[in-house]
Amino acid sequence: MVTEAQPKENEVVSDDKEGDFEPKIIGFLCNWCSYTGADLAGVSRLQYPPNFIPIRVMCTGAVDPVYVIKALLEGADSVLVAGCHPGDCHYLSGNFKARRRIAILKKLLENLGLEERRIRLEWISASEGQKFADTVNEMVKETKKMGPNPIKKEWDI
Amino acid sequence: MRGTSSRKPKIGVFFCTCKGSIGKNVDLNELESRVKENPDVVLCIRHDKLCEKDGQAFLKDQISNTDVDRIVLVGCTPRTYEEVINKGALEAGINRHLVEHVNIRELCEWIHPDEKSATEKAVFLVLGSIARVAFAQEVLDKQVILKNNNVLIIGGGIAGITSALELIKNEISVHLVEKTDKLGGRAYELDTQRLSEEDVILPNINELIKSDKFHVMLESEVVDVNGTLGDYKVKIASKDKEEELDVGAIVIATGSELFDAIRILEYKYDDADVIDFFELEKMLVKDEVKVPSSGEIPKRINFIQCVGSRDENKGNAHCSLVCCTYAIKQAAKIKILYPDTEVYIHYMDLRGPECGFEEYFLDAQKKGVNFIRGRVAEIQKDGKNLILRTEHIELGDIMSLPSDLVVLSVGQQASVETQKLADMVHLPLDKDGFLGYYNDRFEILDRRGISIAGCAQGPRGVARSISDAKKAVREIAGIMKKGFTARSIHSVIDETRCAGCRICEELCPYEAIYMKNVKDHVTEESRLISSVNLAVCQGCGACAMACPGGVPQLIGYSNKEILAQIDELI
Amino acid sequence: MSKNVRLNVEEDLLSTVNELFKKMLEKDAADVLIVPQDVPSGACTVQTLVRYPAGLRALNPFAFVLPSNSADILVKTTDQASQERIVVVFRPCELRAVFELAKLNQINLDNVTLISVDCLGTLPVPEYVELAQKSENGLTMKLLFDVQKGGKESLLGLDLRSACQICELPVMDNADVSICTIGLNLQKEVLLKANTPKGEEFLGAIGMELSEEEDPESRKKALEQLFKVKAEAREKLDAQVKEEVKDIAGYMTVLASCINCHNCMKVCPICYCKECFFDSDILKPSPKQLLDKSEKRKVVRMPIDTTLYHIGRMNHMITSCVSCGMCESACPSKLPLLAIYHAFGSDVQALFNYVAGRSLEEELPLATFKEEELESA
Repeated sequence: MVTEAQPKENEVVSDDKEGDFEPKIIGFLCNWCSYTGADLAGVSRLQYPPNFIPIRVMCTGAVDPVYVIKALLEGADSVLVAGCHPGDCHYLSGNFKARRRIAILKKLLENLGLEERRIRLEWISASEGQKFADTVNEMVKETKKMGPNPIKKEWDI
Repeated sequence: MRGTSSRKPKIGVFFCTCKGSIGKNVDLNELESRVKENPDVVLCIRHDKLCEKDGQAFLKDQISNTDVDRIVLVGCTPRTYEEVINKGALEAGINRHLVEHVNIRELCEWIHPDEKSATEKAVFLVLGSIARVAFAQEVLDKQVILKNNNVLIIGGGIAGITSALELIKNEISVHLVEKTDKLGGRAYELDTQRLSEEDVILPNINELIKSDKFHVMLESEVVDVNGTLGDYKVKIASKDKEEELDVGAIVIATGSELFDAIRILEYKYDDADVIDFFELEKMLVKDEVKVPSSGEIPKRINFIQCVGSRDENKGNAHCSLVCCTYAIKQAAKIKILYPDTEVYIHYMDLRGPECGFEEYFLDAQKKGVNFIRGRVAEIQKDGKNLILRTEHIELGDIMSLPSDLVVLSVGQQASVETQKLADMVHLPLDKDGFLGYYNDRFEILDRRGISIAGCAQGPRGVARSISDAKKAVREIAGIMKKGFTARSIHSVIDETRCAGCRICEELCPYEAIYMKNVKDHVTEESRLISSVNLAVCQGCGACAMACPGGVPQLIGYSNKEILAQIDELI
Repeated sequence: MSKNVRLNVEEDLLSTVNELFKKMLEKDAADVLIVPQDVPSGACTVQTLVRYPAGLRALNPFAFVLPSNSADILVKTTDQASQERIVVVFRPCELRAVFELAKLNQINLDNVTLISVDCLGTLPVPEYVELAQKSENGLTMKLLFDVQKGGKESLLGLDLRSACQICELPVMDNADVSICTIGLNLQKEVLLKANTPKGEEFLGAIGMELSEEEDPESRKKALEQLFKVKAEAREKLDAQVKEEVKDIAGYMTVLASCINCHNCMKVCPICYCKECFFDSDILKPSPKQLLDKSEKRKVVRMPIDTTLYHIGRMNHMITSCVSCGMCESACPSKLPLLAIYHAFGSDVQALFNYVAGRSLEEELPLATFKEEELESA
């Protein structure tokens, strides 16, 4: 079993030391609002740390929770799901559906001791470049404080 | 959508420097060399401006001269130039779903000044898209021909008639259901209509009746609607029978109804000499206006505007838009018929959205029509005489005006039929009860094979109803004749794996999922499974997320592709 | 108030109930029964489809064993075109699963009459079989009387399945008909309740005269006591398992012995997919993907995706989990699955004020949404 090999394991893979831990954050951005918001942040040259890696999806309502689980189990330190504000969904109600799914997933992972703030659902519109940059900044800061995703210590999947 | 293709993907990666704007923070040489390490990448090449003409030619050339079968375009945001840049690739024969865009300009170059980390992030982004495109599937655009291309028009007023005529001109068969015993609706009675140079009602009706593509059902009503674009089943109840019609699309032209003035007690609509504008219109058609109780020519006529309109407490909140124009026209005509009759119009403010209103207004003033600004408080009866108690805002006076005849300009309101139908076809009503909510979303409606024409959308006059109706059926006519091309991104359902739980049907915002009865060859079990109506599917992916089994998948955004991308990114 | 009828016990409880069900077929109140009967050796009790009265030999809806959740039988025996009138006798946890599956359009209840029995719990199948083989006839009645009497030795020293120890709904008051045994003198009588118009009509059709009558005091008291015991056990188990998996390390330790057989999914009445997402090709990594992982992570625990399967499956079915515990019973590695699903499931279902299988009317949380909810999320 891997458990026995673990102490060694930790040394190799985790960047536990406070300060030099650079988290990796995966973000699912809806094509219509948040991805465009991220573009705007770029056009406006709003700097934010490079720890955030975006994935473009059509709608938050299409973000299968299994993506979030997969990202976390693969070792992402936090996951952002960002879409249009309530009522503004390009597909009418995708963000409401996403909200339910994410709430369920959060509840489950919370019970497994994973910090609730590692999964964030945010509404960022196409005109909110600043909010996008702020969100990433905040998440990076917060994730650094929380430390590496504890799953990484249990490399299993 | 599942299963890795047995063939090894041959991926071409194109880097666009955006005329040198990319490459200051992102180290393109390093990026390229890292990308080249990927065994699926067979081509890795740079250009200055892929979105321009020579860039397109370059793209096309490179693809044609090599054996790449899918490509990754690295450069600016796909939100602006996706279609433009894709063009070269598409022309070179690469399927649109085998093209991935990586945005390293807005998401890297412009925001990360540190070269090392900017490059590192860019590497992840590009490798992620390479992993994703490796699992992408070629899907050709789908041309869908409809099962049935007859159109049902509900309502035989001016909007319904115009729609019917327009469709018949396009060689499309039309069934028209009308609840009364004749075609023409309210417009048929309008004097203004006859005054205008082209009388659109009677000749149109006559032309319709001649056509063998026109089938009319009078004194009939739609009681149930099922199905979808190209395959609607509509139940119609006539006086003595009920029948089911198969049609491909539906035009809702159920019109509006007039406010019943009896609801405003202080205007004494139950008095014989208080009439609404529509009753006056019927007199004007005959070029004669008489006081109903006496049969004499009226000496003083008062028009009261906004009866039942712009008054949430006693009537409807909305403005009926046309009543000012009607009243002014009627008043002017009375002055022509009887120059000695005093005519007053009591208004809150005059509203005439159509072009030409100002001229009507000035013309009526010139003819001697009096305009009094103020809300009429009540109509009193003094013996045989009617007396209006009203304010005159400009003079700041309270006035009592005797009147032989009072005309109430009642507004249009949503008809009960429209509301019933909205329910049957699952369309939301706006706050005034009209089907106006979808006005700006024509495309979505057309794709469902439903169009709304005329006053069912909200109050309007004859001219606008006609232009509306023409617009409303234009798209439908095209779809009925030629079918349609499905959106390139849509949902695909693996029918063999569908358990029929219907959650995707519940969660689809466009009712694009419909249930289809299938019988298992082996077990003989008959069950309902989900199917996608490509006409309506907008490609949002709600169904894909709804299904625990991953049965519906969104083209270009399948679980397999995105999971592969996630795998690569971390 | 529901309408009741007291059924006098003639010879003994089981034969009386056996006769009652025979009557359903004889009086043509049903075409087919789905009822549990003892196998001839008495070693176990299994569900049977019975079309003729002669097929009813050893009806035993009270046996202390539940080899599988019978809801699946209705999935297999009904479809859109179902015409035959089916009457089933299920335990509350089975009926809860039936309600969920009906909402998931897997069962067509149009021609089905649902009869529930009070359930005092079941033993793990192997232990029950061993016990039954050793025992004389009348094991069910002995256990039934013992348990009703209470006391530590009531189950011959055996423990109920953990799902039964913490059961939330040992009696079901919204089946069409319920057969009540708890708190009654079973040598004399059982109580039949019609909870729905369909149930009333059904009991009428087999010649029962119903009256409105309150539960006897003895039943009320016994139920109160039962609920209390179960609630205490529930609280204890929830707390215990939450402590055990309070962090990822704990959870991974629990999952360390998972053999990836996916039995928990196969026996789950709620897992209705034709092919599990986690069994499908969608998640199958290519050899290259798999080997590449070892480079990134230095070490990869095999089989891969065990954790993804468990969390993912939980995420798919937890809102409809009825805590029947079939998963745990079927797990060769004896993972505390029921305990986890119950503890996590009640948290998640509470988000939507939903209790899986409580009623047919409550909307499935995953099939709907509200515009105003979960604002803090």
